[in-house]
Amino acid sequence: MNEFIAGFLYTFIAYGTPLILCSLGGMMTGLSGRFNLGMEGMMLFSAFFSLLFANQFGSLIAGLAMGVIITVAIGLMMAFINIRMGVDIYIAGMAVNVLGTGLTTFLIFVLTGSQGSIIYPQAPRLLKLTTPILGNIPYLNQVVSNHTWLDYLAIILVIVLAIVIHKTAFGRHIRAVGKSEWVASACGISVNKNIYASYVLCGILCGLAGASLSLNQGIFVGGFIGMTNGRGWLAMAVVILAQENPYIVLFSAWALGALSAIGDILQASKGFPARVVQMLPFIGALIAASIYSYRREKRNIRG
Amino acid sequence: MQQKKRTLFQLLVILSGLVMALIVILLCSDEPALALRYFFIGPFSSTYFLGDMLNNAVPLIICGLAASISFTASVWNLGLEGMVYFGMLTGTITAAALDGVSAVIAIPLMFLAAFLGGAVLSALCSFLYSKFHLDIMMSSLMLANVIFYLVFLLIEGPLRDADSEQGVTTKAIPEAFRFGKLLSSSDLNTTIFIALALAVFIYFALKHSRLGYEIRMTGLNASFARYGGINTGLIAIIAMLISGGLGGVGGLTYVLGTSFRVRNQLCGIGWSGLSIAMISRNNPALVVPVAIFFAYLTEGAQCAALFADITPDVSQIIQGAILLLVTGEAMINFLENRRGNRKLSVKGVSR
Amino acid sequence: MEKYLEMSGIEKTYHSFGREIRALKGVDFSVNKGSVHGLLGENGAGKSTLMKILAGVEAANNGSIKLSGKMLHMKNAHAASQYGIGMVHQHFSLLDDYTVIQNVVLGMEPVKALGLLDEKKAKQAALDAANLCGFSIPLDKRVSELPMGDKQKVEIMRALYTKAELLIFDEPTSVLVEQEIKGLLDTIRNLKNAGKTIVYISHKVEEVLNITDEVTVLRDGEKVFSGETNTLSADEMVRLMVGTSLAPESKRDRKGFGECVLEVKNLKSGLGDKLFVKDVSLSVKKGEILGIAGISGNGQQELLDALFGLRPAKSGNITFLKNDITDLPPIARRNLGIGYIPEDRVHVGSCAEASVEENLLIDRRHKAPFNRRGWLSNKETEKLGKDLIKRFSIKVADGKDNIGGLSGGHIQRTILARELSCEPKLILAAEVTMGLDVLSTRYIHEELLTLRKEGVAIILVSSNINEILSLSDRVAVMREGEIVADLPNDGSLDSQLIGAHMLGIQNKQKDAVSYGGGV
Repeated sequence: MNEFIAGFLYTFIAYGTPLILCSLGGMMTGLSGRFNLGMEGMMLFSAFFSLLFANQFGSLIAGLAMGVIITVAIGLMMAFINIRMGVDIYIAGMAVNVLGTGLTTFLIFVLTGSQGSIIYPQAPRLLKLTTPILGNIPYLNQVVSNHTWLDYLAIILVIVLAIVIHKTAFGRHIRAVGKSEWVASACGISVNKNIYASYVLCGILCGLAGASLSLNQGIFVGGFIGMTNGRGWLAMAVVILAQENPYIVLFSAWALGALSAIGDILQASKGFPARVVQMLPFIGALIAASIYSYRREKRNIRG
Repeated sequence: MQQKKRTLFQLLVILSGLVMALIVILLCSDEPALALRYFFIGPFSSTYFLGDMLNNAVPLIICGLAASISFTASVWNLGLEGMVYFGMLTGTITAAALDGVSAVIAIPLMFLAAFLGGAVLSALCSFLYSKFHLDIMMSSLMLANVIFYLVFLLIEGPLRDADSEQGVTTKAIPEAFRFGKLLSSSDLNTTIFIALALAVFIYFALKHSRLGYEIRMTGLNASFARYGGINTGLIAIIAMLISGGLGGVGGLTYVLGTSFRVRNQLCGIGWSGLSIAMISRNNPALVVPVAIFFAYLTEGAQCAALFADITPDVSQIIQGAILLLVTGEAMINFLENRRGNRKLSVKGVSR
Repeated sequence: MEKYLEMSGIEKTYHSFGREIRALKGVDFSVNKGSVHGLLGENGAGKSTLMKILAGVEAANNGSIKLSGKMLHMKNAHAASQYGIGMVHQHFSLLDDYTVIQNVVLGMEPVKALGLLDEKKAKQAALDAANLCGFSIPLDKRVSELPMGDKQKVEIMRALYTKAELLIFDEPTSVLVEQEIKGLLDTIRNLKNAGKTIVYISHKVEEVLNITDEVTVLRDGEKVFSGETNTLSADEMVRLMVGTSLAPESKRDRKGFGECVLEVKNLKSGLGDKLFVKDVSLSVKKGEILGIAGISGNGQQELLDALFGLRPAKSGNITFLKNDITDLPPIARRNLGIGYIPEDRVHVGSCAEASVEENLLIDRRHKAPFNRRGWLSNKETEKLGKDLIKRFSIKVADGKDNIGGLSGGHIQRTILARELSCEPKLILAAEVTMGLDVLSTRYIHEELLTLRKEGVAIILVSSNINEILSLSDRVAVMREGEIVADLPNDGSLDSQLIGAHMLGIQNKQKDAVSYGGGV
């Protein structure tokens, strides 16, 4: 039974990592008022390129770095197109998603000749860590150990971003831009710089998210429902629920992960159809978002 | 005059999209000349390809119209793909169930089932908005993902046709209900007339009917619409229902133009419909040529994939790139000399 | 004396919906150090634009700015504050969600290592700025919870925090009431004594005469006068502002009124638990103008919305021409003969991206001859457009042009054209002349008086006490959702009294006569 629960807790933390990272990125763009709809595409790009380069150079760092660099470039491009060329930010996001699906599949074909997915069993994988102190506690260590360092990083980033958003001038500025661009610029805050900054941060975070997906197992699957599995859309729900609070991102991502883990268990033990398990996070997100919107509307009405 | 400049600009961007295809192919193909020939000219090189291209355009036109109608009302029905897929299923299943019934009754019922399949999902989103104030953009996207897995579940399970030679699919639409082919060599059939008729009707309805006017005003300025006496809540619901329903119909025409069965695979026409609507700026008259252009890109890519060493995904890349560029307001502003103008942000004062 | 501030040859052109608007046509503007310099002109003359360029909020197309002889490179608002220029905006540049302290230091927050905020320093800085002017505001409160006057103080505090030596006040009294204005003028005198230089933008001649040492008058984007304030009389100032001597406005003539057209009893309206309209009762007679004075935001907007049907009534009764309209939707009230000219003419009263014709059509789109079995008649719509454009002199080339390209005055004419052309029996009008130039204002006042003569009842909401006093037959004052005064405008009322009611320092005065006679 202990094994069972430990396994459960392990799964939902692991599920959460890409969602946490991606939602944190989405949150930053949301705070600046230009929400990034293209996170699915960004993660696909990052998953693909980080695996590719990790395999090419035989180095995990190289892969990770390339994945992040590329998503940051995409983020900058999106912000640039929005600010300089006046393209609606949602349209830019949709375009990135389309490009993500198309370009990755295309490049897979061009580079390897296969259709839609690549498997690099020899590629360097994300290191799994054993925690020094907690690792010795017999029961807890099954929950806490064996996560990759990226999983830990995700949690650390939640704390870091909470500080950045609420306790630094930069956080004040970004939120001001999101609340009113005119007021922000009248106070000397550069609206454009802050939007670029939010997209760079989102790029870094989504880059890490995508990398965590493919570098975990050395596999990349593309297409309309590829390995991102709609996490980019789930992140949208998480961002709405979390608003300006990264801790709620953590909580929501774990909650959705828990749903997924429960589904896996039901599938394994009771023969629950796999497809239903895949549906669960979205149903959960839909219910949570509905409750949240209902309560927010009530609060607004009450004034 | 401004309208003409804008259209000219859009044409320029589409041309630059083609230039982009040129570059991508040159970079990635080992036999670029061949690939280019098949990409650009392939679709016109035989009646098969031409017919196939126009056939691909049919569901794109209908989905583009579906997206346009909701966008015109400022309802962000981004989860259209879900409605397309579900309507595709309900329509096909109904047709299969009605095997043996007279076509005169069955065909309209089949379309009705497809429409209702999409509309039911829209209705759910509208309900969640009116009850919980949940944004349509969010509910339609979440719901779409749920629907994908639901339909997969159904097709892989209870609705699976064990005798299908095409892998995991549903039963086929009976022959009696299929639409007559226009060219013997391709799958192009008379559903194209349905698509074109819909485009014409919707164009006139949006411009000249009372409902069209109310949808437009609701989308442009809901406060003004309400002040003028329009029931914006109801209009938004109507627009959403039509959008979802048309999406379902679009899905059905896709099946009618391909294998007559529904697979456990997404075809992406809902997403394309969104792009088409955005590029056409929700103008039904532009949806048709843009949809045909998208179909042209897909067909060209497929030709090139068949005969050269390019993959069909090139078309996706170009579509994405065009979407990015062609909707550039600032470029249009440049043509209209709007630089340096500040948005109206203060109520009552218009300078 | 060397000029402290010298702006030379400033040009600014806006482009909107294909129209070119030359807001400033080569303006020279100079200010002496330590003076209070008035910038006078009517709405649309370019005063705000000129100062927004100085404050770095807008960029000029041409011209130069010198401060103490040094050429300035005004890249943005940040640069302006570096040069010591601060602006108190007409519509405050504050974030509602942030506290007073957060707003005061916004953009130039004191930081510790690594960019972490220094909350203690911030609080001290806000306190210092408040003390400089003698303000006492709760520093930890969110700005959304403050009254208008206090919000303006926060704006001033921010300018002081950024160490501004030149302070620009943009129409600061537009959101204040008589008694608060006195406090503001005291603040300005204090700042002057502390050595600051002040530019005071206004279109109100009395204020400029009262507070300023020097004045520059702008008209239609050009400077028409610059010199010491005491060399001009009020009349001369008006003539400079408008370009001609204005004939006195036609007066409201004494007349009798018809029977009661609208009767409101104990109306309550709000959202959830919050009431915006708290037990309002009033009535209007045929051919009578009821003016409702009050500081913007005290429920006037919500009252008119409720009377028109855009907001539901929680309780109470509204009777119009012997019909109970309490629960009727706007379209039904329009059909009965009520028209509404809303306060927000750009975002509610019109649709900027729709054509003039489409804007005119909205209230009759469901009626014949415009609507035939669900299809709209192009011919009839065009005819309507041509007819109304001519009748109301709306300056637009073609009825199919977007209304967004029209000036504020002409958008308002279009709205009037639409609301008046249905032969309404009651007009609800809110802030009808706000932000408009003198000629448009005159035109609208004339229209209202003509309607009054024709027997139309009018409820006029305005924060401009003079407008209320000159047009209304009865004056009501609204404060915090209640009618605190309802008096006949028989010459005994003045702006001091009205102002007192608006601030709540006068006991409620309701004339018993107003409730006599049922519908």
